[in-house]
Amino acid sequence: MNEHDLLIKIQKYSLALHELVLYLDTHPQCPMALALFDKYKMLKSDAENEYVNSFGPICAEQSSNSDHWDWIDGSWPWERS
Amino acid sequence: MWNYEKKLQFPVKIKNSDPRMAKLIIAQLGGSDGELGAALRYLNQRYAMPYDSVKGVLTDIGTEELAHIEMISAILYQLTRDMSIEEIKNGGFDAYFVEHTTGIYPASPTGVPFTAAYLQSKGDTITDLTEDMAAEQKARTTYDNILRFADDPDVREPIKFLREREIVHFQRFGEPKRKPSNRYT
Repeated sequence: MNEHDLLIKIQKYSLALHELVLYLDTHPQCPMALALFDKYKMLKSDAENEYVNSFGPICAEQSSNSDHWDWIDGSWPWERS
Repeated sequence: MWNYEKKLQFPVKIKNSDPRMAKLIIAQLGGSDGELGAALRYLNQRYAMPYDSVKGVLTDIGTEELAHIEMISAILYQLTRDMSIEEIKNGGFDAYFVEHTTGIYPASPTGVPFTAAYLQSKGDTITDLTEDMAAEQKARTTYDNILRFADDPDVREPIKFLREREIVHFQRFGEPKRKPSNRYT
């Protein structure tokens, strides 16, 4: 998958997860939301690992390039068209 | 985007309330050289910054400042726990208490609400980085002044940590300008 499509996928999973976080904050016992949270946590984690391995870190601590500090490599999120 | 981590950057565990100290330390939340202004200054300056390494520094220090807002707020919360009306009066905390009870509100020790007039985003690399270095030193001075009044080691330790961070940030903001081998990239 290309960088753009993979990033869109991560953004979709992240938003789904975040919506579940907000919902669970006020419905901490809901078994359906808890199950969905688990499901999307996995999907997001897989997509994010694929992205980080192919295109570089999403957060600084994911940087693993031993040649140079690739965290600062452009483009930055507000520069992407 | 940002994610919240459910921990402080450095431990804050204050056993004894001290409203007088809280009234001084609030300078670093809502005052002219406080952590809230620092976070907004750096995070806003990123967009006009043309150099990737400086975008990184502004992002990462700006993010750390958000954690410092939380540390200062934790200190203020713990210093104003379980106070009697007598302690509030004697600590000079009564005026704040009437308006905010023990809610954490970004204002200066003299009660002036936080304002974006405390910071600049000028769209010029040298101008913004020079402002940032000055801001770090002004915050360091404010921490020095707080330490002149703080006796409790529970308060001094996190304040000393935050003071040290100002010095590290000053260093990082200054490096690209000082070393020819480490120019802006």
